[in-house]
Amino acid sequence: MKIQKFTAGTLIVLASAMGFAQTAEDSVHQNKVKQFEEELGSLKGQVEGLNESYLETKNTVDKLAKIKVSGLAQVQAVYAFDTAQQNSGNSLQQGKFEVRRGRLKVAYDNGKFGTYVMQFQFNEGGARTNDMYANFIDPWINTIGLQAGIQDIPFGYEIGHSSSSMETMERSLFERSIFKDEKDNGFLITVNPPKGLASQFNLKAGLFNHNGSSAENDDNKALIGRAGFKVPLYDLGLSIDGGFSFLYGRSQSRKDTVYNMDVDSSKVISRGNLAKNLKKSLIGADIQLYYDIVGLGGAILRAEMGMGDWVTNNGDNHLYSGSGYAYLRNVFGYYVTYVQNIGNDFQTVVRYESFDPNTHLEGKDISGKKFASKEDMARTQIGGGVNYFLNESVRLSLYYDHPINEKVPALSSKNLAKNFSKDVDDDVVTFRFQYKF
Amino acid sequence: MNKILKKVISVLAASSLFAAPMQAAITVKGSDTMVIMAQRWAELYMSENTSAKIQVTGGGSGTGISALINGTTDICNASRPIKPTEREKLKERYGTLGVEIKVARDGLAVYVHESSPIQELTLAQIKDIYTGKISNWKQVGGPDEKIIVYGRENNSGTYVYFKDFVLKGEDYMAGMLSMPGTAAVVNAVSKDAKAIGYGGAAYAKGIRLIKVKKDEKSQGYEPTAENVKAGKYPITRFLYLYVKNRPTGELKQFIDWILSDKGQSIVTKVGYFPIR
Repeated sequence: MKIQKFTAGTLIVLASAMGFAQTAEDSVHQNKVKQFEEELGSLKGQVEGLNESYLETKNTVDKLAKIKVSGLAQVQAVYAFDTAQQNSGNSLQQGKFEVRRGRLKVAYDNGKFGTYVMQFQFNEGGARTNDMYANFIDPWINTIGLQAGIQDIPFGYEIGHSSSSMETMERSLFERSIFKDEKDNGFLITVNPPKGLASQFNLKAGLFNHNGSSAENDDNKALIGRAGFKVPLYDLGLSIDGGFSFLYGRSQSRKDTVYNMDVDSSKVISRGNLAKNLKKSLIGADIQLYYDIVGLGGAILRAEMGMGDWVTNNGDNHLYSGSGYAYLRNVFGYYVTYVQNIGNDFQTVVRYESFDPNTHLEGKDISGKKFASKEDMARTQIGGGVNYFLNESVRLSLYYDHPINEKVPALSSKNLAKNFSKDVDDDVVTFRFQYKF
Repeated sequence: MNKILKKVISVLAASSLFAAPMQAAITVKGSDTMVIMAQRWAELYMSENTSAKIQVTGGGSGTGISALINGTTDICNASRPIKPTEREKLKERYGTLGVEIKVARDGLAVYVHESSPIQELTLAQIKDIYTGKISNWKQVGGPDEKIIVYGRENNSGTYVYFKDFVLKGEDYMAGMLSMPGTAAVVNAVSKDAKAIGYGGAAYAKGIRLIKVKKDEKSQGYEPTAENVKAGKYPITRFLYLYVKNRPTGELKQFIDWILSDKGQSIVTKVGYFPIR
């Protein structure tokens, strides 16, 4: 009996102890669960905080991503045979290092709300505004755009393409001579259908000051434009692109006398022209063939021409206009360029070009006087070179130019650099280092 | 004149000597949607061709096309067609239009959380959800809860394709949560009962794919192999490879292999649909 009581007592004590232990264990578990829940709540809070922080950061990054900064530096070593007179403008120089172009471009691309672009160009001479425009494309059919400000002149193919992507060292003689700065200030309408057959056609036309990137200096404006097409033949690896350009404008004579550069040099001067608006008009055509040569690389055959009546007035382009007089000329220029890519990294290029700043005067008609001087000589130029793309930023170029001037008996000189009665030995070789980002 | 021509010819000839294209490895970059498939292609091709070296990375279709243009990849994987502006850059730099090779078809799936009562949506409803015109599940027959919208980042071909095809070019809603890959979209949707997302059907594990209807009157279809092949599922697209030039040598062999039965069997294994 005693044993039974003892056993029963022991069992009660054990059961109580176990119950107590169980309660204690439950309590520990509950505490742990509570602790985990608190930690989880805290972690959730932290994750939510991080998520909010991420969204805020993302919002800021998205805004910053609309700003795109790019630039390029073209530094070159130039060596001119005999004299660099025609190319550098300094007859004493034969070799030099120069910063041909240094550019910094900032664009704010706000998608359907438009784009703002400003670009500055630097070299040893200082800085100038290269681009300063805003554009906007209609949000309904995504086709019609308006671009206003200092921008590329919409004439021909070359001007609208960055010099960093040109295969040659410079643009053609025609475009360099005619279009000051290759920029103009005005309003441009663009039509670029995004889809379907219509996307193979494009149009751009605008009204410009036609005074380069400088401020306007008269009331005359120029209407300039280009209608372009693209015929891509994907199965053949071929594309045929091209366009037709036009320019119509006027330039005001600042003086009574205008030099009308005609064949008969005795009648080149016309008077009674003060404040008279002188007509200038150009037409142009360009074509580009792209063809993928299997096993070698892409080939480009590009040709472009421009011609028409031109006025040079008060230095508004690069033809001679001495002492602020207006000079009337008929101009004609063209080039043919062949580019052959070899693999991914090499590119060879050959160009033939010609520019006659005065088609009404031949070499024998040029008198060497102020109304018919060396600026009226026709020039042809053969050039060729190699571009090596070291990486996505660095390009090294070696290029050789052989200019040939029209023979002008009246411009005979003992100074070989100025003896235009024969072809001046003014070939130029250029080594260029280009870095762009 | 003759001297000049000789000089030019000698310069051109010298450049050709440097230009023999010797590539140590074929690099493949682009679409995240395609990255697993591309890795499988590379692994199997290299196991069969021990001398071949193929490096595959993702980053998005836009990133891949940029890499093709700047010369840092040989092949670009893209889950959207190349844009005209991108072709222009290829023409300018390489004188070529680029070569497009269709390698697979994909049904672009729309996901919801597995607990969601939503079974099907029309293309118009999906468009309205992603443009922000529909913001509550109640508006499409679900519970009275805000829709949490997940999508891809704008360097993604899937982002562009979805915008062009489903949103008809309209902008995504401002509050869409952009994820770096389809797997991230799937992961996010699987943890959020109020979420909706889109991406390749190949990634659709652990969440539910809704049926998509062309319009209110049409029948809804899931992005199954049969429905995609039969053209019944409305959101289908091609997956592409892009190269700069018409391919030759090792590059051509690899691409031909991708289009062969062996290459196309990988397409099926990773959940896409073969091109033929």
